Amino acid sequence: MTSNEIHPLAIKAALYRQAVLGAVPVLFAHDPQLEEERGNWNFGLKFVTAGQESIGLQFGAGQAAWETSPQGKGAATLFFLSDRHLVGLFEQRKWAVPLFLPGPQTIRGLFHFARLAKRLDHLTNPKSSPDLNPTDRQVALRVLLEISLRGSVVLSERMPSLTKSFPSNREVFMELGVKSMGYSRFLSWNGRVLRMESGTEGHRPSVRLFFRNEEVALAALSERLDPQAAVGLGDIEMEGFFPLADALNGVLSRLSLYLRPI
Amino acid sequence: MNTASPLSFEKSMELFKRASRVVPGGIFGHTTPAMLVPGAFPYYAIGGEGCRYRDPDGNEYLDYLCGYGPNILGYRHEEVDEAAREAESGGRCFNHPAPIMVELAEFLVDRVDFAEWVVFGKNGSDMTTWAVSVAREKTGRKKVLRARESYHGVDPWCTPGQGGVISEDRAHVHTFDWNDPESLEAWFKKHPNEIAAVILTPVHQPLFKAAQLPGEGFFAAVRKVCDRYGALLILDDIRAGFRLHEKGSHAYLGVSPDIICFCKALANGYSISAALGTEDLRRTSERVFLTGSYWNNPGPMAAALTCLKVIQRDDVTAKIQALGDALANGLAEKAGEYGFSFECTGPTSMPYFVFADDPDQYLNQRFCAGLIQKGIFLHPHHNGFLSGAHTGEDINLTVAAAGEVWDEMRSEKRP
Repeated sequence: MTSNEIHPLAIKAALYRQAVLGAVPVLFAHDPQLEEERGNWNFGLKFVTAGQESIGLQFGAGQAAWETSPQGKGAATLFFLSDRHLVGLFEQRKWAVPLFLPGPQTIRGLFHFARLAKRLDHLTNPKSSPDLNPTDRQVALRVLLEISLRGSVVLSERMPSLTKSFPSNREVFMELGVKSMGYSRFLSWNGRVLRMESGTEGHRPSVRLFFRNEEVALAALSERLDPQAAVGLGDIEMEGFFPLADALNGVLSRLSLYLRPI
Repeated sequence: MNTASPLSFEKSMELFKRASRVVPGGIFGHTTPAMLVPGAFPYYAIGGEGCRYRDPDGNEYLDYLCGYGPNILGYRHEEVDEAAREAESGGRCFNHPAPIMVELAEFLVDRVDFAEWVVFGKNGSDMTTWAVSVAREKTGRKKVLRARESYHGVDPWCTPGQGGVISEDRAHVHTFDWNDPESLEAWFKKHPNEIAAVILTPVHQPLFKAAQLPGEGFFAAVRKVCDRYGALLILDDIRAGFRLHEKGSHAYLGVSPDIICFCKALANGYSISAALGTEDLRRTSERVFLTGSYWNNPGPMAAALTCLKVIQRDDVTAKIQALGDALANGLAEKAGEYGFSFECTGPTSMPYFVFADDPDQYLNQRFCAGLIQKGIFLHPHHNGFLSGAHTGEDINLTVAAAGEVWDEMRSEKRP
């Protein structure tokens, strides 16, 4: 490994911090199982790894927020000695138990988070998808799409070699969505890295990729779909600058190398 | 040409559904529907003649792609097909090459003025990759320079795909800017005794983008730099071969490379490629192992010999250039009538058409999807090709049909 390459463990840890934890607010906002209790959750969690960026999840007022370098004092802290320990926790290695630094509502907060984690695991596990009811399927899709797009941002930042196919001379927006849900998310490429976007600032996306329905989207995001065949069949609708779709696929297809099957 | 009810691609789609179960991608490579406007184009072809071909749904198309270039004389050219049939009447794949190989080799060496020998393969990639190896063997150097976004085939050192490529495959392959001799020479100054070759196409045709002709003096400057630093110049004439000049694009450029690679239009659709080189590289070329089970089959060689003779006899290169000019001018003028700016980039015998202010190809995709419904095949993302089978009437039909599509488009809401 050259000095320019980042250790796979560091990439995994970044993906868990930014992509998987980053998707928790999406799960919290849309999971019907939380509908009645959403408003009662009031706690914070910090994920701190020695020498790395801290991540915070704040639950309150019916909403959840993910943030980097959280400043709030009223949060319970899970402290990891290294990326290896953080990854171990997410990959359910029994030895990977973080150190706890309690805050208000620690026990209740950890209990809630453990439930959320279990729910996240269930919804994102490809083995579960055939049995998901329609509502859960839509939640799973929102979460998987969030993880995928956030993950692509992480990979673009840490593995520039994956982004060589993106255009070097212009900023572009990309739209990915599920046609049957009328739901889409946006990414931008600024010549160096990918970024999550809330919209396209009024510009037409340079490429638009839409899965025909939830079933197709779930299969694609769980790597159970042949994407090129799906395009030919019309299960994935594509218009605009096709090389961008190909470039993005090149990044997204790497996620499963680092994350447990999602 | 179909002008009545909308074209159906039902049988194409049925075939594709079956294929999707047993072929990765359904159709892989450059003919994947994902390169066209998926769902708006046929996916399979069953036959053709001249400049037209048919799909399984019974639709017929006036074609401007020629099978991605090879069919320079048109589909099923009788003389070429007869030569191939005759050559294989005794069989196809033997333990040795057939005498036709000698005839074809002599013809090509005679035709390509700087060359003293020729080797044969099947695909363009066979030749470009082999030529790079010859350059490395000759110079003892590793590095190869190519123009950014150029296409030279599908081997790991140059494939446009990302999958399966490791950094070591490209460690000694570097890019410079097309039409910028200074960006080329910068590499030589940085690595003065390390560059084995510069490989270039005569026209720059990046995928999904406007084509660019060489600027005045560009190739002469490249030749000079190569000579100064002891690197080989490889001309990748796979795509443009015999479409810019009937003897090869080096004649069009006025610059002799050290190796020239041909494929596509060499044999009007029969699978054969060739690389020709200078006497100085003869012994080196022998040391670079080159072979394939089907490479000596006589049919494609006979087809190539006849194809090249017909190109010369019927002045096909000049004809397709004139037709290309008529097409480009006609379309540009017609587009203007409907408020669109539509121009041909690159040589008109291999046109790549672009709309103004359409960097993401939305207009081009809409236009080509509309044109196919009129029974005219123009690829939205790849340069087109004219053939010796096209006529002035075909051009007129195309321009008229394009006008109909632009008439539809101008009334559509545009973002």
